[in-house]
Parts: sequence; C-alpha cells; structure tokens
Amino acid sequence: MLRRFSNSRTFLDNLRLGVFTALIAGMVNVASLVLFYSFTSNLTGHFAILSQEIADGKWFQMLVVLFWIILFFSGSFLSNNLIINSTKKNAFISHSIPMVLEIGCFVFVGIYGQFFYTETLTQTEILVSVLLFSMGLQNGLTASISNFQIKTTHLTGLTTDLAIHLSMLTKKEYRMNPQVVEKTKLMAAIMGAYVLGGTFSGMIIHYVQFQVFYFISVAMLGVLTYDFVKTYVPFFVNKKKHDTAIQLNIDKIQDSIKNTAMQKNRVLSESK
Amino acid sequence: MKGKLVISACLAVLTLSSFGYYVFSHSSYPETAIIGEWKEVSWVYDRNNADEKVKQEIGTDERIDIANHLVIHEFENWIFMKDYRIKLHEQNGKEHLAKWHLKGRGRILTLLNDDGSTEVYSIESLKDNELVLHFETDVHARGIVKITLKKLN
Repeated sequence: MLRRFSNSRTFLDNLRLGVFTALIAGMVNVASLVLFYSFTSNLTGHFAILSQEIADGKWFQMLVVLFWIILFFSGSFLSNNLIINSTKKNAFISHSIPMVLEIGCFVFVGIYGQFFYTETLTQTEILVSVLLFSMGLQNGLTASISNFQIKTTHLTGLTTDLAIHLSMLTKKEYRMNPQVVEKTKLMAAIMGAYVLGGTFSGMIIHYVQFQVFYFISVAMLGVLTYDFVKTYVPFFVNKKKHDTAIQLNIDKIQDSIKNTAMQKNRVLSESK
Repeated sequence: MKGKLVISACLAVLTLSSFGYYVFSHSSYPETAIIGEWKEVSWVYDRNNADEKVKQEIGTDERIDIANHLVIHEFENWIFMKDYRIKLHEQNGKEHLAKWHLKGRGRILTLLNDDGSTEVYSIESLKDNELVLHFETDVHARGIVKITLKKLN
C-alpha cells in the first residue's frame, strides 16, 4: 500500500490506500464533530469561517482558525517533503513516517481526551489542532505517493470529479478507456469508505468517546505492519536463499582450488 | 545544504510553536467574556428569507411549547460561573444547576444537566453586555429561535 510511488503504483495499490485512508478520515471527522463540534478533515469550511471572523473583526478567533489552516498545511508539507527526499532503498520508511506521526497524534488525542480533558475551550482547540495536523499528514501522504490520484480527507473535489467521470461514462469511447473506468471506481470506493467510516464512528462514539482514536491507531498500525511484512519478509527470505547459494558456490570453488593444489603438489612430488 | 535545511526546519517549528502559544494563550477569551449574570430580554423566531425578514416575538406559552425539552424555558436569569457551572434561576427562588462548556471556537454552548442530558446552543454573538443564542426547533416548522440576554454585572 505504501511501498510503491507515483506511476509505479497499480490500481489495486491506490484502491487499497484510498479506501483505508478514507475510512480513517471519515471516522476522525465524525468523531471530532461529535466531541469538539468542529470538522477536522476538511478545510473549505475553515476558510469560510476565517473570512467571516475577519469580516466580524474577531481577531483571536480568526487567529485560531488561521493556526488550524497552517497546521493542516504543515502536515501536508511535511508528508510530501519526507516522500520527495526518500530514496528507493528507504521508500517504505519515508512513506510510513507520516503514518507513524499520524498514529502518534491519534494516540495523544485519545489519551489526553480520556484522562485529562476537562472540556475547556483551549483544550478543545488544541486537540482540534492536533487532529487537523494529522489529517494534513494523511492527505499529503496519499496525494504524494499516488501521484495526486487519491485525496481522502475532503469530498468536494472528489464529488465533482466523480460526477464528471460518470458523465464521461455515458459515452462508449470513455467506457472503453480503462483509465477512466478505474478512476471512477476508485473515487466511488473512496466516497463509500468515507461515509462508512463516518457512520461507524457516529455509531460507536457515544459509547467509546475518545477511545475511538485507539481503534483508528490500531487499524493503522495493522496496515503498517502488513506493509512492512510484505516489503521486508520477501527481502529477508530471498537474502537467506541468496546467501546460502553464494556460500555453496564459495565452498565448491574452495574445494576445487584445494583439489587442484593437492593434485599439483602430488605431480610435483612425483616428478621430483 | 543539509545544515541550512535543519536550521530552516527548526525555525519553522519555533515560529509555529510561538504562534500556537500566542493563539492559545488568548483563546479562552469567549470563556472569560461569558462569566457573569445574564438576563433574558427576548425570545424571537429568527428566519430570513431572500425577499422578506420575518422576526416574531415568542410568547410565554409558546416558549414552553417549543422548549419544553430544554431547561432554559423555565428560567430568565443565567449565571455563568468560573468553575464551569451555570445557575439558572427565577426571582421566586426556583433554580437549576448545570455545567457549561464552550466548543467550536467559542461558537457552541453546551449545558450538561445532572441527569446526563446535554443541551446545545449556537452562540450567534457574544459581546461585553449582550449574548445572543440560537437553537433549532421544528415546532410549527419555524426554524431557528433567537434568545437575547443582557449582562447584569
């Protein structure tokens, strides 16, 4: 899911990544809406609120919204920076760092919310900031490694694109184009996963409250582990086979050298 | 090159942290502004159409009708305390205690009653001496109710 980059990714790679991250985004957004009365996976509304606060002259509230926007921006910036500075050798590590940071954010929100949150406005705004940063990380990660094919934290652009692609599919020439069909499937799957994640979160949030962030973290950790196993286990297995084969060859060569040397010695001693 | 990158990253983190600290050290402003005693001065339907503006006073009977599921319809004086408790009371001595919290950048007021029920109001405006709250009702399909309170002290 995370190993391959840009154009080397298959449709299935993108589908898995899109569905999984959309599930997470949907869950986080609904959880933050219920717990904090604020959206955390999309920024369009925050830009509108920023403008409104400026127009109303409410400078401190404006600064809070501006800070949230900057944090989302920083998350995406950091994700992409890690990815473009990675090499082929450490691609998995670089791609998984944003996800590890994201898990860190969710664990922090979960623990703080469960044990220390007293519902003050400052605490609420700080926790919303952390979630916005994590969503920025996720959006930056998915968009970067999928060559901008996947964006899962907001659905405005996706809905527009899906509508355009569906309208294209009304013509036979586009239905015959596998790229258009795959992109349509991908967007529909992301949309469905986002709604599914949001619905699931909405159903459990009243019972589990902040612990919902632990579920999300565990799921993400599961995906990271799966990807780690897929990346490194074949490498280690092949390396072992490769090392054994080399060792056998070395042994054979050493034996033949020994035999040749012994034969030479015998010939020399006989000739003497 | 690498050194420059590290310095830039450190500067960015430092700037962002300072900005965050500044913002959050002032973000409790609405929580400070709401502390004190407030008195209800009006209940009206607040509905704006494109070509007409309908604002209609809500009488006492109708007030009970639309807000009977909320504690606020029985009380006219609201005292917000620093410890996040709120005392709603009438002149005749009847009172109700709950907990209050602000969320969503200080635009959402939640009241948590002792029975565990939560009431959510939207803060339309919070000034030094005026607090305007909105809550949605579907009674008579009129939509949003606007409550205006004036500060007493």
